[in-house]
Amino acid sequence: MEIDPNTWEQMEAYLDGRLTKEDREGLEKAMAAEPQLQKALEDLQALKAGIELTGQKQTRAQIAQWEAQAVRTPEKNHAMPYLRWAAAVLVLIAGGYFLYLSLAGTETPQKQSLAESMFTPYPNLRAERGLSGGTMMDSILDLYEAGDYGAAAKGFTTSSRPASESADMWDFYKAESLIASGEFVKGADILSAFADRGHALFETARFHRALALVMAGEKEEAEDLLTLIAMEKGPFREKANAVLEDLALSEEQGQIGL
Amino acid sequence: MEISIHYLLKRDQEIRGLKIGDEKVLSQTYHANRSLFIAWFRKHTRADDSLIAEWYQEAFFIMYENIRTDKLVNLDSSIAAYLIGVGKNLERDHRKNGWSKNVYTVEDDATILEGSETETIDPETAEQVGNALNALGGKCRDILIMFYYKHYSMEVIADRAGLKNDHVAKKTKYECLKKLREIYLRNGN
Repeated sequence: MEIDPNTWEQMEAYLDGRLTKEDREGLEKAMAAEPQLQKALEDLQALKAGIELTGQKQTRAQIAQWEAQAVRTPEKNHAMPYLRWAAAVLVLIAGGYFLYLSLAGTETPQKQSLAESMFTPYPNLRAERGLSGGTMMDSILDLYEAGDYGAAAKGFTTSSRPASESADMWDFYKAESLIASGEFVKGADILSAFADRGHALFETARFHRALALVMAGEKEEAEDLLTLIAMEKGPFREKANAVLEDLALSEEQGQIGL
Repeated sequence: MEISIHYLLKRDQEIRGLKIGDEKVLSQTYHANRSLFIAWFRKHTRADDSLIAEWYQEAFFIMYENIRTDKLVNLDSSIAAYLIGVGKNLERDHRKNGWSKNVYTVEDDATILEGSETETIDPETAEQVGNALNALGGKCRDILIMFYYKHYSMEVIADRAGLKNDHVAKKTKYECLKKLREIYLRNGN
């Protein structure tokens, strides 16, 4: 039985659930009266499913090809030979330039990584909320608020926490001061104690710890933590993704010596 | 610091590229995320590299299928994070099954994807349709796969198949389906 294009289209819409109730009932009535029409619908269903499975097989075959390429060509060798030569020349030129600058006594501005530019020390909530009461911690936090993170870190490190101060607040601002003054590993270690998900500072501490690890060069640990943050629906998800991309980009540039 | 527009645009372009099956984007995405995936599972599991590579291929396939069937429309994490998430489920399944390789075969395809829209047909029928498609060959096979598997619009099909316009593509698709059915029926169905 020859099925005309419109009937095929109607049967496709029927299988996809796109027909109105009226059209669906009309087609079902026609199929009940004409077994060959019913057979055509069954064939169409089988053909569609078969085509889909064939498409999936093609996709798998394509993926297997990419995998074979990846295994044959380890990432480090992706750069073309001439690119590696070009990179070597660039490294020599850059080396000469930096040597010249150091001999000339000129300071070179360092390119900030995304992690560095994303790290902003947590605001001094006590001052913001008007809770500052002239205690020792408040004096240290004054330095912190003034942007003298090195002095604040020294204050937190050399002083004993008064019993009246919350240990969490003390440790958290100590960690933030340390990171802001370049003591990344020490700061990250302190923040690792904020592992309780119920803690108000859990998300911030976890993300700041990841940034500190990036800045400390602990790339693998940082990537694990950032991946975890990126997989959860927390407030730092997008930022963690961006840092991950930045790390991947830096690695690619490093591989071709840029 | 706000996330850069460039970053968001780049990711949107990637998803669109994956959705329309742009081979270049697919290939780049595959290669760009592989090393992070492998490094993550090396660190967090005891699996060897070949098994991790199998999970990666499977995770990529599942991601593509979910994008193709519109189950994954907005990806609000990075592609690497999404792939690792899928990989973790595969790792868990493999662990339950005794770390065996090749757990999934082509015949199981219809059951891999949770909530898959694929009509379940028996492997024999699937093979017969596959054989009929191969016999059909060339442009017709590509058009049917573009329409029924990749869900391309008639405009895109016309463009990719080098046809004059979407009307010609629609007519050609009908003729191809008719031919496919003839071959399929000729083989005793």
